[in-house]
Amino acid sequence: MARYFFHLVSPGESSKDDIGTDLPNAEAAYLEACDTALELSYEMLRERLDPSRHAFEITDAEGHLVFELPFAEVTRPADRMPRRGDLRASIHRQHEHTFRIISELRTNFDQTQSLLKSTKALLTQI
Amino acid sequence: MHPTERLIRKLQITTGLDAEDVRALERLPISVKELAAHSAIVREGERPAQCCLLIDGFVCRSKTTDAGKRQILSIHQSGDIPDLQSLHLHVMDHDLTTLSRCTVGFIGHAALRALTRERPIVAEALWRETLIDSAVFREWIVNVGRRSAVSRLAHLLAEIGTRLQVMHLAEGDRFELPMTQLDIADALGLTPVHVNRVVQELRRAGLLELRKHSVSLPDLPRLKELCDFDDLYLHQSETL
Repeated sequence: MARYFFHLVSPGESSKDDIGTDLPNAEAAYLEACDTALELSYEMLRERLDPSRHAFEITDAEGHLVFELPFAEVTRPADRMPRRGDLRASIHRQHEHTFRIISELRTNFDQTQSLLKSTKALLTQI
Repeated sequence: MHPTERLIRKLQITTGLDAEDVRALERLPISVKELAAHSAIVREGERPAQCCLLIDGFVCRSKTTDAGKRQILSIHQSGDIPDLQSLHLHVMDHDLTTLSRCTVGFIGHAALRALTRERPIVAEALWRETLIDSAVFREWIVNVGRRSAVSRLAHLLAEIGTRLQVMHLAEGDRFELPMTQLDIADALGLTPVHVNRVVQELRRAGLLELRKHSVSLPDLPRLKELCDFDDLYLHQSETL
């Protein structure tokens, strides 16, 4: 058993979990996060809050981030319930998303730099 | 402590047992056993030949779905006989399990049946106990079916605290509650992580303080108001 902490990240605020829950492994923590995200979503909808703007940030006993679970991943209509093996897919999707953002940023950065270079070159011609 | 001391204390709050009734209860043949936390006392489908008097500790009644999801139906404290129904309903329709380390006393059905036939007031008192049981079940249906997560936990804590106070088993607003996060989750129909969030919410509101295996409810009136707790359903008013 290992202790996992389920912090709730909401728009503009984050609610820390300072108790934690003992679970056998990260996979079990993922399924537990899915079940809880679903329960919290019902309660949020009743209060006219948008669950898709919330996420769980799961950390281990040392405070390291194990994975993130955006509620949208659970509330989006799907043809089946979350199950073992989904954590890997979820982390993979998040990695791909992060890599895409990094590469987009890199492209933007390169474009800005070349723009800057040509601006500088133009400036020297004045 | 005599095994029947708390049972008698409880019955005397609401019923008029006479000295002879009390002596008859004390004379019941009881075989006392110590059980570890989370051990089965009797399981669904079994045909017990005895009832279990809880002398010390906490036990719960529960049912588990085919998918393996457990719902705790009630929580019992010392002085209760949670499977009293098995005296008349011979096959168990739910599980009885310890939540904490427990001292239990087994009383044979034959001895209990003989007692209820000889002492009608005792029979009435025990009948009344099973009626209170069903009143508690009704309240739990409302709790799990209709209350918000935070009110569900507030209600459960208010119930346990009130019942322990009636039995003089609480120290002021503080009492022992050896339930795990998972036990509480199964009693409320929530996930353990959700229970965790609700515990933190009540704590931040100044309504709950947690120590290892003990709980204190510093503002019981406000806690009761939060979950519309009305102790009528516990039927613990003085001797009728």
